[in-house]
Amino acid sequence: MNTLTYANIFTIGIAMLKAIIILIATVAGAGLLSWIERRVLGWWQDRYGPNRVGPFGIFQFGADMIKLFFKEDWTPPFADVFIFWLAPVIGMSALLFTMAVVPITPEWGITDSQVGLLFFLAMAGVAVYAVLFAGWASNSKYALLGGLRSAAQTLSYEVFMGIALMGVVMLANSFSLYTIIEAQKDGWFIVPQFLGFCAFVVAGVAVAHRSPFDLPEAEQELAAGFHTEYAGIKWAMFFVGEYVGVILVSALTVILFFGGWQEPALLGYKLWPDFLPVYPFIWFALKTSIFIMLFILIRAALPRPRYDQIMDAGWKFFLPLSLANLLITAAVILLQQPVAGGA
Amino acid sequence: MLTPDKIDSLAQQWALGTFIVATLLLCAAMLAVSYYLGGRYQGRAKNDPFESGIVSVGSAQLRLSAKFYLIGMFFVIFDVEALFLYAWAVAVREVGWPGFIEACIFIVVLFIGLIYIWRIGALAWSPEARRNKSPVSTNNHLPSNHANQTGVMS
Repeated sequence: MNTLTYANIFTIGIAMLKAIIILIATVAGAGLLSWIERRVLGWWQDRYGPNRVGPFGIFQFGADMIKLFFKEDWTPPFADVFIFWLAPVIGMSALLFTMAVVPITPEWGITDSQVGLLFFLAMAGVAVYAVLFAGWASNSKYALLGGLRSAAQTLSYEVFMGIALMGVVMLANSFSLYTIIEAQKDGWFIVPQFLGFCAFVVAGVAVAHRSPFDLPEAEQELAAGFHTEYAGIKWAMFFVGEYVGVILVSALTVILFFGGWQEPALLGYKLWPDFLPVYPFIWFALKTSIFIMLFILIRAALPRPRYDQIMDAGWKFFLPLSLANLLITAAVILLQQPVAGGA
Repeated sequence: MLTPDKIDSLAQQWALGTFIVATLLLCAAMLAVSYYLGGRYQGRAKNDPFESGIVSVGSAQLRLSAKFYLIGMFFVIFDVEALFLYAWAVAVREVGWPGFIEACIFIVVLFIGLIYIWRIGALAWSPEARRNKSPVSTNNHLPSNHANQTGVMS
């Protein structure tokens, strides 16, 4: 039996502390994002947005949270109680779990899993249950229709999301997100994997249920969709889950296609001179913020398409596109190999 | 004695466990705090399902369009395909061109399957009668038909 020294226990304790810090930072970021989104949307729509609580309204999130905690915790008498309570927990935690495999900097990240990318795909699949359970357990027609739509939409987009990411996996030869970032030292994957990037961003928006893929909660047709019967903190947990999804998909886009914490490099050329200092966290945060802003801009700029158009786009356009991208990537990799390996 | 690698992987496992437990505890705490802090009020129509002000009729366990179940089945078919491709993606350099040709055959077979379900109309969301109608020409004089064109749950 191996014994742990105090130094080892200290190392493990630090790792656990980092995990807690990452959790708190992600949830706080998701809460802050609710204020940022309202402010920025207001700015783009030529109005103020929340600007009263604290400087620029930055404490609006805290005020909202306190209000939500004191709201009545109402479970409808017609609902299936256990599943009704379970749905918001899945909605908030499923995508949050995925943060465990996200490398923020070389030192900051919870675990370097060999199957990091597969873990993300699995958790994105689990997240569907939140919406499905919420829709079914509410026992309300709007909620049921919203839940069904969401399930069908998310399933359709998850099919090609995985295939679109396999081009990146081929280039890096690994599912580990750390290895994928290391493989982009000399050139970000955005250039060789542009088609995969397009497909992933569309699928990511759909999986996070963000506009224009927020058909499950299309206000004009289905009231609030799957969370029509939810109130107070349970509703807020779906909301936190949505913002965690935005952060996560943005972070993954950066990791998979834009070099993660690394400084810019394209096609073998480093665009950041070696003598300048490097701040991995700043690069990661900067790139991720850009994609979060893109999410909000998409919501502000694009109208919501019809449901049949969304399903058509998924099955008839993006699925063949991802398969083609996969084959082209494989062919290029094999053509670039110096000699067909003797085996 | 434990090697540094072992310690590192042990630390990662503990960190992952902490993260998952802490996430679940956070969810539970949010639910519990709100359960105790929230008020309790009574209202006349409070316990009715929300249907935009209309009194609810019948159960919400409706019979649904079979198309949703079809999508579920297609997902199973094509995601199993994706699983084989995942395995190929990490082995593409080892299996080389022979593997590439096999993957091509595999993808072509499933692509034929996709074209088949496309052709028999399993991916179309509007019923057959309303398909292949240009939304502009036919609907100018027929307001009811126009309403159907935008219908989603048909």
